[in-house]
Amino acid sequence: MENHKSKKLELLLRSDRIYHGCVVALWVVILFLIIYPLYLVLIASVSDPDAVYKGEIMFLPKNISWMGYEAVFKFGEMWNSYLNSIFYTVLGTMLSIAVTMMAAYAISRKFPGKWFFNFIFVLVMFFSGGLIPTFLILRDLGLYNTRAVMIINGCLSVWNLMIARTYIQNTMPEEIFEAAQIDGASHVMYFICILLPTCTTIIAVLAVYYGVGKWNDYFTGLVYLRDRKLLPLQTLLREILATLQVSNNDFAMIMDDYANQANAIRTAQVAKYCIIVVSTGPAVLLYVLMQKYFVKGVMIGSIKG
Amino acid sequence: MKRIAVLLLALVLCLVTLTDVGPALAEEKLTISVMQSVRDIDTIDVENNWAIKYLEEKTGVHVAYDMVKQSDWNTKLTLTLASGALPDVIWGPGALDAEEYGILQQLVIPLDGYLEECMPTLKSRFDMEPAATVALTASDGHIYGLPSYYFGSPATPNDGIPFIQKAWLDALNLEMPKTVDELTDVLRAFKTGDPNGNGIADEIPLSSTITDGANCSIFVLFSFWGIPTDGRTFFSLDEEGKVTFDPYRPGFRDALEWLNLLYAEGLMDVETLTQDVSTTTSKIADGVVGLFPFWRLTQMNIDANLETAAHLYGVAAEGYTPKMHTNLGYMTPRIYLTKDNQHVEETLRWFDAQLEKETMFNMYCGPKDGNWHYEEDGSLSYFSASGDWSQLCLNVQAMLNVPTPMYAAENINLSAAYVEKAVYVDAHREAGMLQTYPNTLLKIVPLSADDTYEINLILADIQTAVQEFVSKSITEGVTDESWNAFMDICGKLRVDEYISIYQNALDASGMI
Amino acid sequence: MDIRTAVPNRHRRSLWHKIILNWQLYLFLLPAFAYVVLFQIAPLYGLQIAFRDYRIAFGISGSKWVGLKHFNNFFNSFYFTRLFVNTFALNFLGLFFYSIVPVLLAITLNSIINERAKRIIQTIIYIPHFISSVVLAGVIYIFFSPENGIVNKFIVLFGGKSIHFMLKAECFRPLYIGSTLWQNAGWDSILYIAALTSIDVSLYEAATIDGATRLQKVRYIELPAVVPIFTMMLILSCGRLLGSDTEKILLLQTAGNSEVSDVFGTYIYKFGIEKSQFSYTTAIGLVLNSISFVMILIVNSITKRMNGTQLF
Repeated sequence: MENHKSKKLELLLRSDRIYHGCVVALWVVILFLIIYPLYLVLIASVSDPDAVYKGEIMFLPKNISWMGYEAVFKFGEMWNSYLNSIFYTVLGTMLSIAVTMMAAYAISRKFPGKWFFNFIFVLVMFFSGGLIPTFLILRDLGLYNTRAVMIINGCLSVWNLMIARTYIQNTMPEEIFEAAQIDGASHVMYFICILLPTCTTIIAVLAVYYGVGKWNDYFTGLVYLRDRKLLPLQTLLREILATLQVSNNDFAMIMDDYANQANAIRTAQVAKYCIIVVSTGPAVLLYVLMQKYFVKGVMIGSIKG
Repeated sequence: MKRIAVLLLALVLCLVTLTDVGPALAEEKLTISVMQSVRDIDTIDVENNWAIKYLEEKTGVHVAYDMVKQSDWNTKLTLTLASGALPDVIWGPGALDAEEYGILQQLVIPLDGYLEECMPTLKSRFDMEPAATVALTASDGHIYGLPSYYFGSPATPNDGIPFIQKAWLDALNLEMPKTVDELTDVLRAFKTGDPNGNGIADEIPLSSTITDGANCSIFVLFSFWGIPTDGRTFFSLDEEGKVTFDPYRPGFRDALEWLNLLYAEGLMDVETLTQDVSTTTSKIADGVVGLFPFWRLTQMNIDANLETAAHLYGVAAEGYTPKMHTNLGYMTPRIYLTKDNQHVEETLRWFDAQLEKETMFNMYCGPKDGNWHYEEDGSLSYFSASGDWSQLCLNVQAMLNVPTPMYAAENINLSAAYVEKAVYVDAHREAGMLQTYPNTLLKIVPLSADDTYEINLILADIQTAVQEFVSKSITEGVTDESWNAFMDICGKLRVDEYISIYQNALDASGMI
Repeated sequence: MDIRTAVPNRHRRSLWHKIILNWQLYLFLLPAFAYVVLFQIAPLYGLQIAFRDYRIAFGISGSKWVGLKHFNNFFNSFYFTRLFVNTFALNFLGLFFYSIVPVLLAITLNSIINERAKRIIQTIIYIPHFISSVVLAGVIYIFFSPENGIVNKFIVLFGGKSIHFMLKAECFRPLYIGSTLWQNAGWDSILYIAALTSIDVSLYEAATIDGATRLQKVRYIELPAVVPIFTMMLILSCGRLLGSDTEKILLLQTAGNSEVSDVFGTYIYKFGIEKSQFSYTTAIGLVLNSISFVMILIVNSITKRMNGTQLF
């Protein structure tokens, strides 16, 4: 975080004024490009779906109807799923951060066999056995239809692992490690007392990445859960959306009931916007909370001292 | 602040673990497990559903349902089969490949041996109309899947029909067009004449899609050239019962040229090539579309603007006899018993009990005098349950009903929706404009596993090629060059191989 | 350098000794490694489906071995070349934008003086990530509709002719890349923003004293801070050049643009979901993954030589 004063000083230089001017202009455009569609999604969630199709919604909602939100909230199961999602996300993220940081620290150091571990991690980023073998193994481990599978599945993302490792390698100077060693610290002590407090930024980033990933995950619940009481929010909400993908098989448009089906499709058209509004809330909250950790760690003082 | 957060978290954790699965019911009754497919829009509350309770009381069989949404069906079925924990009954949204799962892998068992003893009602229905059982028998002569068939008259075209706004014709003093050229003039008049009388040129003469198979799609109009294409695989049966590739039929090119003409003159909605069914439906609902292939007029939830539309048929392109597609009224197998079923006979008796007339309607529509009742003359009328029926009955896909067309005709007053389509079919048939051999035969003819593999490989690329060519032709027109190039591609895509595989299968099956 | 092992050459510790010294590191690795082995390495036995005619009832080892049949069918399929070109071109072009734009966003954002504005903007740019592809595609169809879309209304206003964006093949790539950028650039920039906030404040002060312009500060302070992560992300992204966001492509694909929008992902989808051809799709997956893996190995060795950043 830059010093406020030093930034103010920058405005004294003419080229800097031009630079800042450009930056502001750029961001005005970017913000418009981002906010306008988001605003549209918001008003589309309360508008009549036909008006939405025809592009009649530009600045104000039309024919305000809450049927989309009704459809989403009328699922009695929804509140239960909301709780489930919070549960899975919080525990899952904590587990992921722990596993990832420990592994990232380990592979940032030099030790025999490091190359092997690196290779395995990268290998699994590319090759996967597919859904059926994975399913069978998880089932044999007794994880089918349990809460545990929602938390454990996806607890390590090699992509995030590599990013964390890079961050550690570039932020933790070797001198600190050596100083700690001279003081007789073991890896564990170094990790807990020095590394973690300093690396709050990357931990915050991991919290956001894993947290959002877990929150948005609908597939794990779909495949590995059977009890509806265990379902997370996204898997449940997806059932509303699946109507939109009604495929063209003989039974999709069963004669007598087309009216109901058409109604459901119409509701789904609006509901898809409502679902976004409903599920985005917590994720934004998470980010706002994590933002304050995006600060310089405590390390600087120790180097100079 | 932090402490509050921790407290809240602990509270959530407690709440969540407390809402865990409740104690299982201990049942003395026979319990069978059924993996049931339901439509995406349905969520059936198994505990409180009236129809399920009714059936359990009536038959004494407790059913452990595993309700699976249709869009997840393929994934879940695969995983269930792979995991080896087979349910007793598989009740899907469509047929399982009997060749694959019955004969080859023996995951589901043949049932015809039990018909006499355990399923007298079903057998009586089969005997009433043996022709309707054509799709049930696999290549080894056994029946693996029990049928599920929705009420209806046999040759109800399950697909789309061209409709035209009669009110607009009347407003402009025009006759129902009988040829394609007359139709073109009508469309021109629609565009310029302001037939809906509101002073704005908001009329869209023709609007449709190209992605909806043969339902609400532009391919329905190809029937004017005698090509009853299904708009999806693009293979159909000609009047001699031979498998043909639609683009190879005379008239395909002419149809494309006509569509291009419409496009160029602004008579066709430009978005036809990119929009989906829902958008099209909402335009139709607005009452701004003149000509639209659609599914039917009644009970479509947009009745207001459809009241003034009429069925358009008999339009012939010059030199061609129009042929509308037809559907086969046959029983599709949907219910299978797996090899792990320990109570085969009881299960079959349980099914059979559901075929009794009043039971059927209780299951389909809810209790008597609700959505169904007897008329004074003793015939039965029914409405499909609307509103929140999920507590009341197992709708459509969750049901077994085999009235067969003859039975239906004798015993049930079919709903307006069915009657409407039957009228159209009859009109076409009388005019000699109905396809003799339904395309649906191609869907139900049994193919060996190897053939299925080849077919799938070939079909995916063919569909891409045809869709692209159609789209391009409509927007840019057809030239000899582009047509020949397309024919060339089709040759390379092994169209002929596809045709011969199906032709051999068809000949061997004796369905024609 | 580990002091404990940095002894003069004559007394080089043995391998075994090093392992014992670092036993805690192995412990640290254990959870991650166990997870990977159990959930990702173990299922790899399923890859042999690609070489068999998998039938569920026979299990994997019980299914007939067919060798390279599926691979042959794949390479000989009519559209193979087109699929390859489409997939690669789409991702390669995209890679350029996806990697650079987030950095640009982060750096320019970092220059904003008003702290509060900065934080608010940071939160806003992160929200598009939550707009699902289904909704985004829907919005695109509406915005770019030839009759009623805003974009075309503007074009007509300025005297142009309405363009049918969704139909034209040449519009597909810009639409896809643009919409992906809209969805993800803000999200991806989180990492860079984090890196920039970690920069030592005194560096800025020193630079100001030396009379550096803002741009010079960007070049000499901020860019170097971002380069290691940027390189790592680039390497990782190179491994995804043959993949795609299939769901979004399917939503944006029309018969008019399919000659450009038909990619491996959509091809696999047709066979996987609709036709349950497991062996075939596994074979295709295996080919694509192998190529991607090799690509990453190559890119990794290049960056290793260039600036020392390496994956492994």
